[in-house]
Amino acid sequence: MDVLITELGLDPEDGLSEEEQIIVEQLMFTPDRDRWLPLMGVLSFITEEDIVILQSQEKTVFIEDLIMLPELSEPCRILLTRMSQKIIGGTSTLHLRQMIVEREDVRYQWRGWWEKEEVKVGVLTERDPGEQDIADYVSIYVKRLTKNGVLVFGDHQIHAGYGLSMWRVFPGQKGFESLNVLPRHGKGLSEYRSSHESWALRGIGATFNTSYGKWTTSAGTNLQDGFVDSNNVHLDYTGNHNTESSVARKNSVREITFSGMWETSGKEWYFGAINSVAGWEEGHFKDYLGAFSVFGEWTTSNSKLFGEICKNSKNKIAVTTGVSLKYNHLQYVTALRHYPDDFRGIRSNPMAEWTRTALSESGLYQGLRFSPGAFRITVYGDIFTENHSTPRVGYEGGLRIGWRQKQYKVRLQWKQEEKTLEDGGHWFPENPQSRIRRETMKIWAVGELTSLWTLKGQVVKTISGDEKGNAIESQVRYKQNNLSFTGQWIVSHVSGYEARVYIWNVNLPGEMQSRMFSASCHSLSGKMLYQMDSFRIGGRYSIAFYNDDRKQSLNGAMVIEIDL
Amino acid sequence: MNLKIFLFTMVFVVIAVNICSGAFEHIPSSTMSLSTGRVSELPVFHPTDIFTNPASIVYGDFRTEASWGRLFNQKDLNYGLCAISIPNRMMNIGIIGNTFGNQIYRETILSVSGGRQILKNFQAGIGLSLYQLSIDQYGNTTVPGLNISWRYTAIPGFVWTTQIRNINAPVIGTDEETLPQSVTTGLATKMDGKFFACAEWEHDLEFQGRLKFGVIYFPLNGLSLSAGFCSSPGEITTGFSYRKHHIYVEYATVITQNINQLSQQVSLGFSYPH
Repeated sequence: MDVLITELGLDPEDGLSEEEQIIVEQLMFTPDRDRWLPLMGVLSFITEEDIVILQSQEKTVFIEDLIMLPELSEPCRILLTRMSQKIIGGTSTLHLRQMIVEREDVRYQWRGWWEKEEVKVGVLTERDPGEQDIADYVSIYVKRLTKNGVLVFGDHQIHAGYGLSMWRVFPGQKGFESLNVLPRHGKGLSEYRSSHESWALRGIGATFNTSYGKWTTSAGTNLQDGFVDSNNVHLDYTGNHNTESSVARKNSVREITFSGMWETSGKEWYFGAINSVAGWEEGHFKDYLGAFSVFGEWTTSNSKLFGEICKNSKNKIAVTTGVSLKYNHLQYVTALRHYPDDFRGIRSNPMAEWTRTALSESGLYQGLRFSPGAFRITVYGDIFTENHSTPRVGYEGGLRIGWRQKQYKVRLQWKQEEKTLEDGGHWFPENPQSRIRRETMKIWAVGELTSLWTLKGQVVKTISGDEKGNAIESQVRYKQNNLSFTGQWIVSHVSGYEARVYIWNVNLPGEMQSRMFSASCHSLSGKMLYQMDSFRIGGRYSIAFYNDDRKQSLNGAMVIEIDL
Repeated sequence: MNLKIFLFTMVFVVIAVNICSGAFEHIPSSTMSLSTGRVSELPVFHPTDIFTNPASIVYGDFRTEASWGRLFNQKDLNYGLCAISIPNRMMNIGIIGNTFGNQIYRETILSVSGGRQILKNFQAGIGLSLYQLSIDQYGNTTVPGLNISWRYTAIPGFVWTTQIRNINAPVIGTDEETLPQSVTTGLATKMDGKFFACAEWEHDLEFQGRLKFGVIYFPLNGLSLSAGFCSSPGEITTGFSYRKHHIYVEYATVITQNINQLSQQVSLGFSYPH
């Protein structure tokens, strides 16, 4: 994953969701194109055009030849190249990964999946730091491909529309990569792979393809953390059970869900509707919610119009709509969103500034990407306001210029955001002093010096009011045969929390973590990874020496992975 | 009742009835495991080790062994255990019985484990244990626990193993204290048929994790010498094993640094001729 982060040039404030990381990992063990293409289709950095181009190729074309297709986007080509180097030819039926992360206490995670013909079984068990039970969270699914669709027993989810009612796979955050993400609708029923402990539907889900469209249905019951009072259900989505109060809330609410979705599509259009209901019960208290949503898109040669409207049983109506335009190397996306105060779906996950259980905001996003030759220039802006009587408001925007030439990549990035302070300043008319502005500049470069050595350097500067943050990262990677070493040195000089700086950690397979520096320090990190065809073992270790009286900060992790 | 027995009773009653967190900290392990830094992956199969590592039974033959030991050189901390492994076409089975304590306070474990080869080089095992705590004049209580483990031979002579003890989070006593839940994971290698080395990470969730390291040297056919080290608390272990035909004798000693006391275990085993 570390290599992919570098090659794709992902930003730590703009990374991949856990779901996407798992899909990227699975792609490396999925040799059959009929199976990896649908998986690839839900990745945010892969464009819909990439999928259409790949779908149009004969099945006999090797992956090495697909890489050579000139129409493919650079991220797609990078991913295919990684897959061609790593795919284990047709023998993988069992995958098991053990991850141990040590930081104050230990986090354990075991993830496994077994696949044979049309059946796939997945298991995830996790213990977060401080939790009492070694298997604090357990998730299991059994997926079966049928003649007309898909059946999933256990933990599953439905990616519907643009996330107003039921998830979509992409993160709700905004940024430079939202251009790819915003115009894409959910792909329907899927097994639940994430370690997010509260989001799965637990029960049975099924999809049937008929001549009257695609029908998806789900029924389930689950235990959630939280409580129900006379007014509402209050769910706790943190998944942490490391305090007395959080243990008391654990699995205290019984949730029952039913969903039905219908989708149909033509050559230039797609349309769907989903109706979901959920009930929550804790002791004598009960609450329920229903949400009905319609969504669709209309595509012409250079443009796409998309949108979703959702009404819940509390008579709140949320809307998101947008247009995507493409012309040669130019892409423009604009999307409008309006979520009334206290709007909720059963599993809402649309793009939002404030991602909470209940949404409340209106906003306008615009993004422009221009990719002439080796350059890739992205500009975006988003303006938003809460739909309270005393709203928080703000905007954010940025410019990114990327350049790539064979083994060398350079990126310049500038981002500015200004938002109402979290504590205070909610009174109308708003005092400009109650806002906070944050500006970040980055210069990032990576170069493969030889086939064995790769060097990476980054300079980050953040300004927020009187506070300033500066950081320099240097990273070196050495890879020979099955063994690779990575060393990272970060020097940060940060005068306050608001000027904090984010930098990618050295990540093991299955990880995508960034580190936040809100104080001045030197940080040294090292990673070692040994991989054979069916076995991988790796470890990383970081130590930070602070300039003030703070204690040294240590953390480490170990991963072992097998494929059989 | 003399003063010694009275004090001993009071200590155990306080631990077992009011806190219970000290219960079942002592678990069955083979003498060779003890002498090799308490590691759970060994180059020679021992039916006792299927309690912590049920997957190891996959390579087991028809074997039985009995062990006796004493913790910290304290007469009242004696324990005894016996184990048997039975090969089966579907799944190898093992049974272990362990008893620890004296007439006043006694911990008893009865465990049945099974393991089988799932895919090439990958074995998995599961063990169901019944933990019984008996305290004179207070009665007794029993609770089931579930252990799982797997082992994978990455290349010949190089094994990765993981064990999770009490994954079902069993609780015991009126205060519903959890029994020890632990994770053990490690790597083991056998070099030239003469040397064996294993390093493991063990984490009882109630305590700090510990590193365990052990080596075995086979100077002569049938004879092995072991040594090892554990951290948190620091322990130095050593011992030997001698095998003649189908009978083997093993001895292990453990020095616990914090209390500077010696623990010992001896066992006698018999592997049935095929």
